[in-house]
Amino acid sequence: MSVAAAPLDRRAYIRDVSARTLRRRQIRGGVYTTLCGLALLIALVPIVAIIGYTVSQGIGAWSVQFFTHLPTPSGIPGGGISNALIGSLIIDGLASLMALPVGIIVALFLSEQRNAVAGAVRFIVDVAAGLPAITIGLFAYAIVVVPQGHFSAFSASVALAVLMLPVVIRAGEGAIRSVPPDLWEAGIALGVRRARVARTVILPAALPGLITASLLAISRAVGEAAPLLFTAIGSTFLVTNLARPMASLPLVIYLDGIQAYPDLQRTAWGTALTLLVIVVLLNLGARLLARRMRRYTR
Amino acid sequence: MSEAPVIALRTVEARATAAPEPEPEAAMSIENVAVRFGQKVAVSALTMNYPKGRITALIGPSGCGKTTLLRALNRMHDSTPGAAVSGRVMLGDLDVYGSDVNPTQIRGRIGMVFQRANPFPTLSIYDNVVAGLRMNGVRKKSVLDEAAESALHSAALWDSVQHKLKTSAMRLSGGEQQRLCIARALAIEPDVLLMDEPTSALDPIATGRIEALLRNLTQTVSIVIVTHNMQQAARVSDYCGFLMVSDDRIGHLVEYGPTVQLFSVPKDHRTEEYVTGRIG
Repeated sequence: MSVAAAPLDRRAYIRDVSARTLRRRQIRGGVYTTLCGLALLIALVPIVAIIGYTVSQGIGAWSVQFFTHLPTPSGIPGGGISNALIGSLIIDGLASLMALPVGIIVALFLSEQRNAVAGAVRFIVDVAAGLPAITIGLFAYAIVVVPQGHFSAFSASVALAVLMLPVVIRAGEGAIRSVPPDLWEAGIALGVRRARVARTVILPAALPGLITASLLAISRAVGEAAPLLFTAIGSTFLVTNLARPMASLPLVIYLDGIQAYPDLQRTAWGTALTLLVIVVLLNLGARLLARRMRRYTR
Repeated sequence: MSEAPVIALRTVEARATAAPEPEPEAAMSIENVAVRFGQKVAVSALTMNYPKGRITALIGPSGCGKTTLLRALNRMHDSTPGAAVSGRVMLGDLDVYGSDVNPTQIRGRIGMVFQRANPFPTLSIYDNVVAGLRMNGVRKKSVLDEAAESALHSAALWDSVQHKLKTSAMRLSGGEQQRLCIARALAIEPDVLLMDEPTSALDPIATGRIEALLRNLTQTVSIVIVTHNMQQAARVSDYCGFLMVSDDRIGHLVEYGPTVQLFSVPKDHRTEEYVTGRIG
């Protein structure tokens, strides 16, 4: 039989072809590795440039007063952004209170259900995730600001909550789905109601992931200026009343940044750097938690 | 004593009547091999031979490092972050971890079959078998056809698939898929075939078919097979290494020798306890 007689010849032939292929590939591999390195460099340039430029422009504005004092009119030194820090905290906090619980419940629904309703919801969420932030701002203007008759921090929170929802839902669904289905089955096999299994077994196991999802959504909302333009509108005073216009970090960047006065522009850069640091910290926290989650599920 | 080990011992006794052979030359050998994952040492101080044209089984309780050792032989740990292999692994007179040795080249000479059958789902039966050849640059149709037929014969699959070579590999049963994976590994004409619990996901009939074809494969390849089924080790292997986790939570080689000897007159009391089913 030819098959039985051939193996050694074929082995030699295959080894020979493979060796030549490998040599060719090593050369080509070197070329492509170099190209990948170049692509990486090109991708890194804008990122490093943005961070570097923001730090170099913004660090000069930083001082203790910058974080503790209220803004002063242009020309009067010693102003700060304390009102914007507190405003952002209030607006983003209220938005989180609205978006996170609803988002996590929807995420649970999507991860449990595979029917047409879930499909439709998932589709709508995907579309919503791609909505331009300014349209969301316009929406909040139409349903909150217009009926109330005045700009308010509350309307800004509504806009940001709408913006955060799709982020929480999709990331939350992923977190809940990453809980091994065995746990779910172990739960229902004990004769426990599905809702109870979800609450006692699934959600706690998914908690680190859900926190990560929440932090990502918050970091997305924290830097948005567009939804705040026709809602919070901004303020130079320290405001804590939700029914009144309120300052916020992205608005300071927008409003002060377009002024002709160098000291206001400096404030805008300082605020940009503040925002950058906050977003980096939020993302760092999200990554640390994600790592801890992986350790937990393994 | 449970029934299972009795069967295992009987199988061995039947084979023990054959005259003991002098140990053949090694297809692979390892010396003082240790594998670390980050800070944790998984296995250490492993020294053993894998004789040419023979089947060597690695046995031991779960977590003793059988699979870890197997994957060290063809540098599969290279792609695991944090994993480090120390010691010496030789394929004939080639240092597997030598600085001038490319892992790609090593894996072309040491084939591997995994625990679960993993045929490429988008490829036909034929394309699966010749995948390794094609991706290594073999284009000649006559070579591919011959290699495919030969490999499928060796994997005892030719008769049932010769008329449907162009159909999807996913249409095959689990046992057939695993034999297809064996054919795929054989088609690149490796010197050594590593098998990581190749039958643990299969039913007894499919397992029997694979065990039956292993003996014929030794004409062209040397086999190292990991199994946690002691009867399987007794049935199919010529040599056997018994690994166990010691008190330091590191996998060690407790005993290595001809399978007959390991199962009938083990030197170490732990080997005896394991093969008779008292531990592990």
